[in-house]
Amino acid sequence: MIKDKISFISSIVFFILSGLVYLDATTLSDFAAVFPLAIGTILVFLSILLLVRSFKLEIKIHNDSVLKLKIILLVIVFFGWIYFLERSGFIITSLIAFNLLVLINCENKTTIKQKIFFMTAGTIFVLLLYFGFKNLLQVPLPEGLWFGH
Amino acid sequence: MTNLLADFLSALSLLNVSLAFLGVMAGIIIGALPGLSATMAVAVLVPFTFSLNPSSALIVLGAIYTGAIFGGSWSAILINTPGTPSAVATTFDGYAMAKKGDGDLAMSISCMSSFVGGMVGVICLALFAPPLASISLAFGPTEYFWLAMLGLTLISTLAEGDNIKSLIGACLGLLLSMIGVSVVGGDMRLTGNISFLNSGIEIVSAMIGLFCIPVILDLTSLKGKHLNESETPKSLRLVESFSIMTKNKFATVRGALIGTFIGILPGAGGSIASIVSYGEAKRTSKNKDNFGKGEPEGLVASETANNATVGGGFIPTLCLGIPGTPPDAVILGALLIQGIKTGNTLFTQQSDIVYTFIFGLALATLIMLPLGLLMGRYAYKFIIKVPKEVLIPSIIFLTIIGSYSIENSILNVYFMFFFGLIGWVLNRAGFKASPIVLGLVLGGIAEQGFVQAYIIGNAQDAILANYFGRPISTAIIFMILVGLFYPTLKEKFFKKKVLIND
Repeated sequence: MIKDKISFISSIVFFILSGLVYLDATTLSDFAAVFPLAIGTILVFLSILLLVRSFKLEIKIHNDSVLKLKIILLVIVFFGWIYFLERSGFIITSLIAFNLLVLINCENKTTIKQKIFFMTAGTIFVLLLYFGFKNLLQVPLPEGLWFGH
Repeated sequence: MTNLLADFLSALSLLNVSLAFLGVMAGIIIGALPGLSATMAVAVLVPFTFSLNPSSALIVLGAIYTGAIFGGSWSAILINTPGTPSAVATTFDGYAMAKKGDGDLAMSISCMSSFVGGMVGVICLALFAPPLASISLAFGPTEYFWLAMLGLTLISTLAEGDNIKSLIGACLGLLLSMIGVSVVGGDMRLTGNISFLNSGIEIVSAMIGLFCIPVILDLTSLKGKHLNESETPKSLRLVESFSIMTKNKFATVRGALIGTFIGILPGAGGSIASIVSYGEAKRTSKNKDNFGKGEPEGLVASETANNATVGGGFIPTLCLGIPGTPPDAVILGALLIQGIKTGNTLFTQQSDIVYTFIFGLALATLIMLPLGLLMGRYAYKFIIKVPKEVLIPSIIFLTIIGSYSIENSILNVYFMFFFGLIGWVLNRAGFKASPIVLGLVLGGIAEQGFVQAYIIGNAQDAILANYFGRPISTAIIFMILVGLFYPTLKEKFFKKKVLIND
C-alpha cells in the first residue's frame, strides 16, 4: 500500500529520467559518458530509496493553498510578456504586461484610485529601469521586430 | 615600513576614496538585482577603469566586487532570490527572518558579517598571500571533484526538508549542468536534438527562475502583507546585530576563515564557501533546530564566508595569475591591460601597486559597513511598504530584465520561466531549489575534476587510489561522510540518551 503518493510518483519520474540519461550516455564517448553514468546511477539508487520509503512512511508536505485563477492568469500574462518582448519591443510589452499584472493582483477591496496609483507607479518604475539598463548598463533591450528594428 | 605607509596614504587619496565609495555603491545596487552577478558588475564597469592609474583601477574593481557580493544578500533576504549564486545559503535564514518581521535585523547582520568576512579576507591577502597561494596548487582534479561533492552533500543535508529529495535535487542540478557540450570530450549531451540546448543551461537565469517564480506564485495566493513589519521601525537594530555577532563570534571567525580558504582555490568561489560555512555552523550550533527557520547564526556563517572569498580569491589571482573566482578572472584581464604582470614577483617588484590595492580593498570593505547599513535599511523599509499589487509585477519585471541582460538573449528568459514553473511544481512536491541550483553551479567543476581524475588514475592504473587515496581527498571525503551521517547518528544517540535519562 502506497503511503506517500508524491514520493512514489517522483521516484517513477526519476527512474525514467535515469533511463533517458543511460540511453543518451550510450551514444557518447567514454570521457563524456562517465559522469552522466555515475550521476544516473546515484539517481537510480536515491529513487529506489524514495520508492521504498513511499511504501513505509507518509511524509506530509505543508503547502499554502493557491488561488488557481489568479495563478493561471499570472502565468499567461508572464508568458505573454516574454513572448511579445522581442516582437512588440521591451517598452510597450512591459508597460502593458506590468499593468495587467497589477490588475490581476489587486484584491476586491482595492479602490480605483489605488489601482490608478499602482499603475502609475509601475509605469514610472518600468521606464526608470528601462533607461537605467539601456543607458547606464548598456544592455541592448529589444525595441520590437514589428517596428522595423 | 616607509613604503607601506606611503602605499597606505596613496590608498587614502581623495580620488581613491571617492572611487571606492562609488564602486561599493554601484556594486551593492548591481549585486542586489537578481540576474546581475558580481562578475557582470565588474565586467560592465571595467572599461571605465582603463583611463585610471593601475592602483586606482584595481581599487574601484575590488570595491565593485566587494559591494556586489554583499548586495547579493539583499534580494536573498527580501525576496528569497539570491542576487548572486554565493548568496544561496543566505536565503535559508535571511528570508525566514524577513518573513518573521526581522528583515531589518537580517539586513544589518548581513552587512556586519560581510564586513568582518571581507576584512579577514583582506588581512589574509596582505599577510599570507604567497604561502597561501602555494596551498591552492596542492588541489588537483580529484580534490576539486570532492570539494564540489562536499558542497552538494552539505546543501542537501542542511536545507530544510527531506534529505533524500534534496540529494535527488542535487543530482538533477548536476544532470542539468551536463546539457550541451561535454566538459571533457566535446560530445553533445542530453540535448534531445533540440538546437537551443546545445549551448547548455544558463546558470543565473535558471537560478532566478527556480528561486524567484515559486515565491511570486505563492505571493499571488497570499492574503495580507508579503513581509511582516518590524516592531522597531526606526532603528538599524545595530546593538542587537552587534550582540548577535558577538554571541556568534566563533561562527563569524570560522566563516571568514572558511571563506578565505575556499576563495583561494581557483574556481571554487563563494557558493561553496557559504554552504560549507553554513554547514559547519549548523553542525556545531546549540540552536541547530532553528536553522532554516530564521536563525541569525546561519546568516552570519553564510555572509562572512562569501565576502571573505573576495580577499581569498585575490591571492591566487595576484600570486599565481590564476583567478580564484569568476570576477577575479575579469579583474585579471583588467590587470593585464594595465600592464601589471601577476606572479610571485608582483609583491616584490610592483609592491606599491599591490599594497595600495590591498589598502584600497580594506577601505572599500570599511566603506561598505555604513553604506550597506544605511542603504539596506532604506531598501528594507521600501520593500516592506510596496504593496503586493506592485511588488509582484516588479519582481517579474526584474526577473525578465535580469535574465535577458545576462547574454542579451530571449532564450535565457524562456529558460528562467520554464525553470520557475518546474521549480514551483518541485517545491510543492517537497524538492527544494537550493540543491538543484548548487548542482547546476558546481556541475562543471565536479565533472571536470571527476573525469580528469579518472584519466590520471587510468593512466597510472590506480583509479580508486586516485579518487580515495590522496590525503586532501581523504579529508574531504571524511567531511562529506560527517555531513551525510552525523545528523542522523547524533539524533539516534541523543534520543537514546534522553530515553535512558527518562
